[in-house]
Amino acid sequence: MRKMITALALATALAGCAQLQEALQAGKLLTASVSNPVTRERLKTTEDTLAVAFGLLNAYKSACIKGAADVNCKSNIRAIQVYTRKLPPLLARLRSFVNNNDQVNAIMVFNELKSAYDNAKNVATTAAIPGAGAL
Amino acid sequence: MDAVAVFALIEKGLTIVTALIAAGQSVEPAMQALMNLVTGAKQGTVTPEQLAQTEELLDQQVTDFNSDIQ
Repeated sequence: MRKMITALALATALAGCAQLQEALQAGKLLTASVSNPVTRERLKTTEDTLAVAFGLLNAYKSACIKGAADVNCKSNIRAIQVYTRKLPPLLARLRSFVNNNDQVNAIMVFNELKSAYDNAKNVATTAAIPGAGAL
Repeated sequence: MDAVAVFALIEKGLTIVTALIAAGQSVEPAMQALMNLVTGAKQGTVTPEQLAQTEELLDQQVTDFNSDIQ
């Protein structure tokens, strides 16, 4: 019973992210381009948005460790990690390029980062992780 | 970000935090991320200190998720 309540609460939290996503349109990971450059403001909004998404992914992981998530949660998390583990070096490079206002490379790396994040999101959605569509 | 979007963000953020508390999950990272978003939206510009705070939070979140699960 306790597991059910916890799972329900987690699902509610993740589903709430769908509504949050509507409010985060300004922070949506849109493809960067010359006409849509990666400014410091855009970098911050992107990182804040990713932090919220990872907060929810960590909630799923925490629930998994506690045995309160679905039976496939460990394999789901490992599948998502294939892509999320690409993010740290990309973030480091992106921050450096934005700091130096090197837009050519910043745009290229931003779009690589977006691709890795989109792949992680797709795996989460395919695995039917609650609320994954809102990530 | 306009005021309506900010208020919507706060409302949804509180919904998420309430649910996370009910699920026994840590709410601090989500709260901090939401605070960062609202602060940035309110001020309209980003200082190096604000960016550093956001980056520290995100790096911790990513590290936590990327750690091996047994």
